[in-house]
Amino acid sequence: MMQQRPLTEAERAVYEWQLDVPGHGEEGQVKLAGSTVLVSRIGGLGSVVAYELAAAGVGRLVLAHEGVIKPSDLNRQLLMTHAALGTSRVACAALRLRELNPAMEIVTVDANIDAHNVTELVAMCDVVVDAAPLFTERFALNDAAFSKGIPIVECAMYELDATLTTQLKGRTASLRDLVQDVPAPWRRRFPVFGAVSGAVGCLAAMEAIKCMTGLGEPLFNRMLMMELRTMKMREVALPPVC
Amino acid sequence: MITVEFMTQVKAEAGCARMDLDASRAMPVSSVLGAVIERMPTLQSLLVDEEGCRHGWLMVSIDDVLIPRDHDPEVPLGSRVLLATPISGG
Repeated sequence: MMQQRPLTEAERAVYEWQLDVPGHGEEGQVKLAGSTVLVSRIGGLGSVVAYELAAAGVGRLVLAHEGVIKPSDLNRQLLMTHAALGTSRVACAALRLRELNPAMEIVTVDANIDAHNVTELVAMCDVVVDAAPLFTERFALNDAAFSKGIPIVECAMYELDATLTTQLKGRTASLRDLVQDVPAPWRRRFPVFGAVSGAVGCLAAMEAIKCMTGLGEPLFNRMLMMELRTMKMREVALPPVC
Repeated sequence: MITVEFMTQVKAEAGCARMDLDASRAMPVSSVLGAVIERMPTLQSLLVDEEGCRHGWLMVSIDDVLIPRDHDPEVPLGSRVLLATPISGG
């Protein structure tokens, strides 16, 4: 957790357009600047989440993603570059994010979420964004967020479909309540366009901003289900706390 | 008529986004699944287990309200039933 402090004149200049958003203002911006967000994986979804949070002025990002950049990442992982192929994903992401927001603190973790690191990483944060491709990682992260009472934004995609919901202990069901079994046909590699992950990533970042600032209504007990093939979006009511 | 809509991997396996069932009266979710499988047998392994029970991973909503896994409510005529598997693509 970070300490809140007044905005500097430089910060007011950068964020003046969003300071005008009704219900946000300087008070909301101070909350963003004093907040930490953990983004689990900075792939197609997480890259865009991190970029939008950096643009919004979040104080600190914790980025967890193991491995090096591969050519097949580049259709959707917008913080990665051709020049950085073969180098660390989180290091490349941190460079790109600092170009946009040099004042933001970035903690890079060259590892995926697992049982060994999840408690420590979640404890650093005010909000968690889950953008991992494996259910095992999602369950570990969601369990830890519920254990700490920290809001978690669950965003996911497959082909041109995507889902988004926000969960919080005491307010909503958990991921395990909604997904009792891992679907047998789920595979690590899934069909996707970068424009799909980008669209959902922006919405997920907005959910995180709402959780940090109190602006608007997060998707508690609601799941936004999007079909970008037809641009049909529906809101499915979820069972409340189980 | 009951409209069954597919999303995520169910849609991919079905090869279409919806199916209309010519029902003359309300029927439970389990019967809706049976009717879908009868017309599209390739969906069977995604929707039900070897005993014919709904998979724990299958998300079912009726008129945009998610149905708990252990519930088998009646689906009124004119309703929309959504079948989807949870996804984890990041």
